[in-house]
Amino acid sequence: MDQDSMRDPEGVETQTIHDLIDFKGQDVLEIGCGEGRLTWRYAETAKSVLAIDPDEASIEVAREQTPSKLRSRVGFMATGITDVALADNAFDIAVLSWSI
Amino acid sequence: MPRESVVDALNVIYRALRRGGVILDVHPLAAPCPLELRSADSSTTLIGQTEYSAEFSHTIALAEQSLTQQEVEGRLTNEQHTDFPTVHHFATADSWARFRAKNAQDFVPVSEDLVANVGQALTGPDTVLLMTEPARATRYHAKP
Repeated sequence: MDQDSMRDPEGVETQTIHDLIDFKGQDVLEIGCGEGRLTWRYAETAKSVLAIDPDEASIEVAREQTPSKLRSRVGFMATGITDVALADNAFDIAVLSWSI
Repeated sequence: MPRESVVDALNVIYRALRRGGVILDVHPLAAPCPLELRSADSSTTLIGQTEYSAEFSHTIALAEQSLTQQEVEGRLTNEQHTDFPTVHHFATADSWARFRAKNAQDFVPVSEDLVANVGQALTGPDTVLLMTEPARATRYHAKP
């Protein structure tokens, strides 16, 4: 993480996604999570999160930054969406995180 | 993500979602990103802009077309969208340079004059460079 730069410290993105989606108690699949920047903006309220990104270095950072209180509910995988084996009917919400 | 990749990705997502599932897509809009300097007194001055590369703008356009096509085919319903600014704050010239290097494929290189001007300005006390990326968040109802 770059200590001299911040992205959206005003929280506009956070407010926007929460205005559109109620994550409370939901099982979430996030595609293109990178280092988890967006993940941390909703993970507290979700029931569970599986966040994926093909970049292994970014996933490693996301894992290291996972708060202990979320470790049982938030998982990260270094993989692409077309390469991962997901169970059918397993998620309530899919988040495309700046990943199209 | 190329158009066929978007469709492939959505097919995987459709299978993984429960009935009534929703998709939240957050992506940048293919528009210029203003660059402003914010001074210690919180006043801001527009100093230039940066633009996405033609390749990245094309990628955004193709992905948007793919999502629209999914709507036409009845697989997605656009329920609500919001356009919003994502503001990057750079406190030092080095941090802006690192950002540009990391995202070199996505942006047209900025001029040396602009880099020099920003570098000079950021030596001032409590001056910050603000780069605003316009973005859109859309909630879709998936109807596989």
